[in-house]
Amino acid sequence: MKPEHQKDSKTSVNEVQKLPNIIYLWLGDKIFSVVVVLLGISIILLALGMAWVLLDEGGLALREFGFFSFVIGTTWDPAVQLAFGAWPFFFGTIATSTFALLIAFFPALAVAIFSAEYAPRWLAGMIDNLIQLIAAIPSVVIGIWGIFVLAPWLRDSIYMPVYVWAETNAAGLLPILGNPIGYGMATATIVLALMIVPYTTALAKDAIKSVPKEQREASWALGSTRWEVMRMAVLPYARGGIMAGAILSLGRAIGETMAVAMLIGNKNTLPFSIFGAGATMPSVIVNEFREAVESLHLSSLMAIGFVLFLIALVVNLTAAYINRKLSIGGGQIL
Amino acid sequence: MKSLKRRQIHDRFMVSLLVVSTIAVLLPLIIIISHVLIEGFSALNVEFFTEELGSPSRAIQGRPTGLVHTILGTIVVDFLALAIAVPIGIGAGMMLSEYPEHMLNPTLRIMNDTLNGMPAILKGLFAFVLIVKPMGTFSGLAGAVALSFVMLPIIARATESALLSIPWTIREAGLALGLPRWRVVLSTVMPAAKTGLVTGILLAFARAAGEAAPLLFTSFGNNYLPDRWYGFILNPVDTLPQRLYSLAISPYEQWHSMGWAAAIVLLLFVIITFVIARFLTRNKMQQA
Amino acid sequence: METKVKPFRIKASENNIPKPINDLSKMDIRLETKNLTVKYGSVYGVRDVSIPFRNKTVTALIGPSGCGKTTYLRALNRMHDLTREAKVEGAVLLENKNIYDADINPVIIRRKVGMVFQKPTPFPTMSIYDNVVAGLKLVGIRNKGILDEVCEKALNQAALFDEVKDRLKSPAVSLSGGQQQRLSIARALAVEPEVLLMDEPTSSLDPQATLRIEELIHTLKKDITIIIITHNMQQAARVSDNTAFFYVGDLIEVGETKSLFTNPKKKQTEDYITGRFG
Repeated sequence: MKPEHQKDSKTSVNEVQKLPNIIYLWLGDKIFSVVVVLLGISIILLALGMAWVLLDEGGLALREFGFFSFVIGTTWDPAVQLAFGAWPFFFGTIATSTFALLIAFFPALAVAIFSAEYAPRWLAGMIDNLIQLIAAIPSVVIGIWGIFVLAPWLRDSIYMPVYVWAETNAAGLLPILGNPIGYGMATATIVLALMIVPYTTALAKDAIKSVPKEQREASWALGSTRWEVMRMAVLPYARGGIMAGAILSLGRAIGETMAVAMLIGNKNTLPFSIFGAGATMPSVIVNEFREAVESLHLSSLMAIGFVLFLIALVVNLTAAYINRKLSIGGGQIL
Repeated sequence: MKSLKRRQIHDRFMVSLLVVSTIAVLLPLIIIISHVLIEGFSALNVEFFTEELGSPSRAIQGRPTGLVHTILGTIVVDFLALAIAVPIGIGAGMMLSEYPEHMLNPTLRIMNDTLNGMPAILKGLFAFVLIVKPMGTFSGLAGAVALSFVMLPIIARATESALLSIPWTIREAGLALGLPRWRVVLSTVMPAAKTGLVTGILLAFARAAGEAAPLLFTSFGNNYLPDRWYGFILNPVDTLPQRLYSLAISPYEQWHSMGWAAAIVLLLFVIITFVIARFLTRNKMQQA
Repeated sequence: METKVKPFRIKASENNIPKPINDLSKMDIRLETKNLTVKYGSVYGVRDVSIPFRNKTVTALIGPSGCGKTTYLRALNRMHDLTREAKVEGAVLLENKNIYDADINPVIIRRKVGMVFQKPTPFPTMSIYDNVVAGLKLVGIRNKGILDEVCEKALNQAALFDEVKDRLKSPAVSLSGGQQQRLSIARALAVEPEVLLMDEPTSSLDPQATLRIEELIHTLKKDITIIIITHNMQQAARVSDNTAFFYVGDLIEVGETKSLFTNPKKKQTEDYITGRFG
């Protein structure tokens, strides 16, 4: 009879040498890869499904009016004529988000440059955290602040004085300025600008940070001042990323819904004026979808969703394209 | 020829311009936060957390009202959305990082970015068609599905980058031990990438928790607590962002002040999630 | 506007005669470090290094990786100002004036002491022409005639003009690696520095391009003082008049290249150049 410990060691050698179960090896890998790939495909299907569902649901309206007539149609009348054209909302979306980007871009770039290149580390960290924190504020919270604080303030201290001045001095401007009730295109644009600033800043800062140290030093070594280094080496190098970031911010502004719906005043007919009420594609969906009873009305709102989908798609693809085309790498640009 | 002095004055000028712009940008943002904090905290009271909203007359007559049903509904809908989004998002992220040679990956990446770039309101419309129409009623489930569409692409992207940050040598070491690929991923790579995964999930959660647009046509809203627990899932449910919107645009002053209270609760909920996520990332970076 | 080469105090006939460094008369010295120490926090990068550099000579800095060569080189035109942790003690005398004095502007120093880096650093969004004249445009020179003249001269000095004269307006990144490095040198030369610092300028280049750069260094030293870091001891022997050997932050030995390589005075130098470590 062998001693106890020898027997033990013999069995344990067998245990170690035993090959793992073929099922564990082969089937496990198969199942795992199939599950993972199915989950991946489900995201592809979701994105495609979203486009298809919006197109399908909007189909009634798009067939009724034709795609282009629907987009450029200026009448939106769910009550009497049952005629639906998306142009007022298309225009409102493009106008508010473009101006919001114009307002936000340079200040945001300045913050990015300052925190990336000038600020001492502790301050840069503080600015970054604050920017990220602000980007995390829900849209509805900005909206309630806009309704009860910003809009009344803008009305009393900016819109009214300008309007009163125009009444006596430049009556021709009044239709362009519009009714200074506080809720309208200008307020929505300002709030949009505030909301995309953190986004633009973060993306611009990423682009600036990705400029290689060598580029900066080469400029320093030529005897540049700090700003000259920025202008000569850093900003040209980062321009692709900065532009792509700006376009992505534009996409954010285009899709921004709640704050705009709460502040734009919601008017469905052109012409929109600067201070006066307007509407955007997301805002009209928010305002009318829950109350829409006519199937043509509902379908028209879905069709607006489809147009919004297309715009968002174009904006995102453009940003990706600009980033690739203008970014420096592989020794080849443009 | 510019003298050095002129160049340096220009340099100083640009610095001052940058400082002024930075202050000009940050100031209004700080003002927003402080307004919400001040107005919100002064509007908060105990009833807010214990009573249901009821009809507007309750508030107008000064009877106790609150948003307990909203807070519960938010928790149910948000976590249900998380339960839907996490497995799918992590799976898709794994496909991108662990099967880099897969022919569908470029498509998946484009589609994921597309989904991420879509306005949240479209995700609401999509969930409306997918869930509300067949069910014939607005429901917490529909809201959760809509929110999960918001979370999904963020989680997938975060998973991909968290898993890719784990060096390939670790996978190869596992494979060299004779472990099958799925064991390597689940018991070696995933635990190593844990912090990155959790951070990504928290950020997705924070982002979705603040969204109102996808909920308006899905979970719809409700002024009362449901009779039975599954009412939170199968019936129209109140959620904080959507309720905040309804309160803010309502004509009742009492509801406006309750709106500020809802704003502070929502803001704290989102920001605490966000800060935890950031805190995790920072700790991870300090370890590295 | 200065487009001519500055008059140097040393006569042209003396230019190419290397002398042992300890024989130097004070007159020949334009650049000199005295007890130069660079610290990163509490860690020493280089410690207590004193080297005089003769005018219009090439000095090679050699030593194993991490020995402080680059740290030392970057102290010579105040590039450490850009690193928050780095602290410089001691003196770097340029024309007998310490460049670390409070009243000295680093921007002026960097114009007099140019630098070429390991990797070519063309500004990728600029054309070849714009890269060369980038330093001149900084000071507001807009006169096309002057810019053209300086551009041609600098490209000629960098032995690049003939290769690129037909495509001065094409992007700088369209050049090959070796051409990009010569472009970087031309850009540094265009502002007419008195000293050119080169941090392993050939480390990312193929042998052919390396040879061109070495030939270039030979030509350039007729006009300016060059200090070059190299990992390659053959290169140091080929291009330099004097050589300084660094080891773990200390200057071990400095002297005429020929004698340092054939007859090193210190054991560590001998070990390094015979390949026993490093």
